[in-house]
Amino acid sequence: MLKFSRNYGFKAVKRDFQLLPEFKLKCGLEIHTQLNTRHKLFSYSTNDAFASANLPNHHASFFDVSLPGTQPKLNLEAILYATRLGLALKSNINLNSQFDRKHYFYGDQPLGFQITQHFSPFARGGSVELTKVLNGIDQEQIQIDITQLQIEQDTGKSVYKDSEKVSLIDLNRSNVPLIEMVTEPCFSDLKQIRSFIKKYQNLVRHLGISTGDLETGAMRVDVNLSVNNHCRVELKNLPNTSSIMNAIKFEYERQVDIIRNGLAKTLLAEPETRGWDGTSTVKLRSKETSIDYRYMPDAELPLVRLSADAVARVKASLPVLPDETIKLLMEKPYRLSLKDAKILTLNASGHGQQYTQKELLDFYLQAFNSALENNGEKANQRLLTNWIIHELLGDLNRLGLPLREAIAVVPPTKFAELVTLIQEEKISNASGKLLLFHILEQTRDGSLTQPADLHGIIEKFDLGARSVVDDEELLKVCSEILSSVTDPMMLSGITSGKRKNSLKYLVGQGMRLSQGRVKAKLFEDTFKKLLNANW
Amino acid sequence: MRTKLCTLLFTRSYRRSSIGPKFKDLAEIKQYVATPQWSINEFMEQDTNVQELPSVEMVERLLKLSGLPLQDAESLRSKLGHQLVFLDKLLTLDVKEDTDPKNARILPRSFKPLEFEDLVNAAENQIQDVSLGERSGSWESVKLANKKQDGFFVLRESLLKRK
Repeated sequence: MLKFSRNYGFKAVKRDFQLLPEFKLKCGLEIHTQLNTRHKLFSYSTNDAFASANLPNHHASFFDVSLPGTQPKLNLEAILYATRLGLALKSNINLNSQFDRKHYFYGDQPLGFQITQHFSPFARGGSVELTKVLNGIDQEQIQIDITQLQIEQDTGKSVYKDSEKVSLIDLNRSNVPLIEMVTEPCFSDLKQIRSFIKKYQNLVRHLGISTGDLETGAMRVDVNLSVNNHCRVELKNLPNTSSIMNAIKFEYERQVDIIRNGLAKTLLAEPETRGWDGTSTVKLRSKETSIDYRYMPDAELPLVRLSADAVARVKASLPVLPDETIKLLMEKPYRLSLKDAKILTLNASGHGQQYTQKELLDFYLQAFNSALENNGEKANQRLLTNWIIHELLGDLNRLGLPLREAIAVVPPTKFAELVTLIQEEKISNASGKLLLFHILEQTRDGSLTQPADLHGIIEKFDLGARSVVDDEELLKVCSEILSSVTDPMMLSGITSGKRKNSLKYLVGQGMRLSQGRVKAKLFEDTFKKLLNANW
Repeated sequence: MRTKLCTLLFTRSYRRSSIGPKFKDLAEIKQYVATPQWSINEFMEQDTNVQELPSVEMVERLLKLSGLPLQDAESLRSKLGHQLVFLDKLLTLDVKEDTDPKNARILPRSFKPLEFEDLVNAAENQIQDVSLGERSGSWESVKLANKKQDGFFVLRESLLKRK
C-alpha cells in the first residue's frame, strides 16, 4: 500500500516533462463561464459575485437563498449571451431547450438541486480552430469540436473554517448565470489546451459576455484525460492556467507509470474524478461513489423557445471575431506584427482597462486611414502603431483616463497629425511625448474639452524642433554636462572607444536639458568632438 | 437499486375505461362532469395488500443524497412507498401518447417564441422587485438563520460530513 501511494499518488511533476510517443494523451475540456449579465439567472438580484466580497449575502434575493415558496423566473439576458457564444462557436442553437434539476446536497446549494440543462441543452456541435500562426500550437492547424453548451446557475461559496469546524456560506454567487461548454476529447498535447483556454477566454471577453478570469473563478476549467484510451479521469479544482497544466502533467505521468507497471486493468479500469491539491492529483470520487443526480425537468420554468429569426438577428449583430481581425491587421495595408495585432484585438484581461477592444481598434483604424490620407505611402505605419500602443495606452493607464474621454480632445485624425509632426521631425519624439501627456492630463483635469490645437500648444511651450542650432550654445551645454561628470574613467573610456555606450548617457543628459528639441545626433557629434573620440 | 425503483414506478396495471351511451344535451354533460366517478381514497386503497415498500437501503441512500437525517428512515420508507403507489396509479390513467414530455410542467404549453427584441431589451425591462428581496441589501437574509457569523450563514461540520 505504501509502495502504491509512493508510485501512483504523490510523485511530483518532473521539471523536464515531455509526452511520450508510445503513451498517447487524449483530453477534453469542460469550461464553466460566469455570464456578466446585470441580474442573476432566475431572479433579478444583482449579479456581482466579486465586487462585494466584503458584504456576504448582500446580493441574495428570496429565491437565491431558497426560501420556501419562491419560484425561478428566467433572465432573458442570459439567453442572449448564450446565443452569442453558441453562434460564435458555430454551434447549432436549440430553438426549444429546457431547464432540468440536478439534485445533490451541499451547503452552498440551498435549493437541494442545481437548475441546469441536462435533457435538452441550449446548443450542440460547433468547433474552434487553432493554428500555428495565431495560437502558437505545434501543428499547422487543428479543430476542436464542441459537444454542447448548457446554461445553469452557479452555487454559493463556502469558506471553510477548519479550526472552528464550520463552513461559512455566502450566497452572493448563488444563481449567477453560467455556461458550461464541453469539448470532444480532441486535445493531444498541452500547448493545444493552453491555446484553447486563451482563445476561449478572449472570445467571451470579445463578445462582452464574461470577464473570463480564471483567478476570480469567473471561468473554471475541468479536464477529462486518458492515456492510451484507458478509462478517463476527470480533473477538477484547477484555479489557474499553471494548475491546469501541472495537474495534466502529473496525471499523465501517474497514468504512464500505472500502464508501465501493468496495473492499468485494475487502476485505470473505471472512470474517476480527481482534484488538484497544488502538488498532486487526489481521488475525489470513483464509479462506486458517484452521485446519483436524479435529473428531472424543472416544472416551474417554461421551455426556452427561440424564434429562428431571433437567432439570425443575434448572428447578424455579432462583432467581427478576433481571428478575422488579427488576420486583417497582419495583411496589407496595415502589416502589423502578430503581437501588435493581438494587442489591438484581444483583451489582456476582462476588466480594469481604460478602453474596450472595439474602441481601441476603431481608434487605430481611423488614425491609420487619416495618416494614409494625409501622407499617402509616406505614412509611417510602424510609428503610428507604436505611438498608439505604447505612448497613448501608457498615458491613459498612468492618468486613469478612459479612451472615450481622450478621444474628445485627441480624435484619431488629431492623433495621426501628431504622429506626422514627429515623423516629419517638426517636433522631436521627446516633445511629442510631453505634448501628448500634457493634453491628456488637461483632459483628465477637465481643463481641455475640445479637440486640442497642436500647433498652438507647440508654440506656447516652444516645443518645436530646432532645425538651426547655435554651435557655440551647443558646445557650451555639452561642456557643462562633461564638467559635471564625476567619473573620469567614463570620459577616457569614451575617448578610447572602450565605453561607447557611456556616450548615450551624455546624449541623454543633453536631450533632457534641451527638452528633446535638439536632435540626438547633434549632441553625439559634439560630445565626440569635445572628447576627441574618433571612432 | 435504481432499476428496482424504476420497476416499481413503471409497473403498470391497466384499468380500461368503457364507452357509455351518447350525451343527449349540455345539461347532461355538466351533470356528468360535476359527479365524481371515483373517490381518491378508494383509488388509493386498491392493491394496498400488494404494496411493495422500497428497501431500507434505498431509503437510506436517498436520505443521504438529500442531506436528511436517517433517524426517521422507517416512517419515511412507508411514506415513500405510499407515494410510489400513487405514482403507479397515475401511470394507469389514459394519457395522450403523442404529448411532448417536455410539456410536463405547470406552465402554459403554447406560447410565442422569444424574439430578438425580447432578448436585447431584457436587461432594460427587468425591474428589481423589493417584495422578492431582489434589491441588494434590502433585507438581511442571515437574520432568518439560527447560526450566523459576520454576515455569513454557518454550516456545521456534522452537516458537511453527511455530504
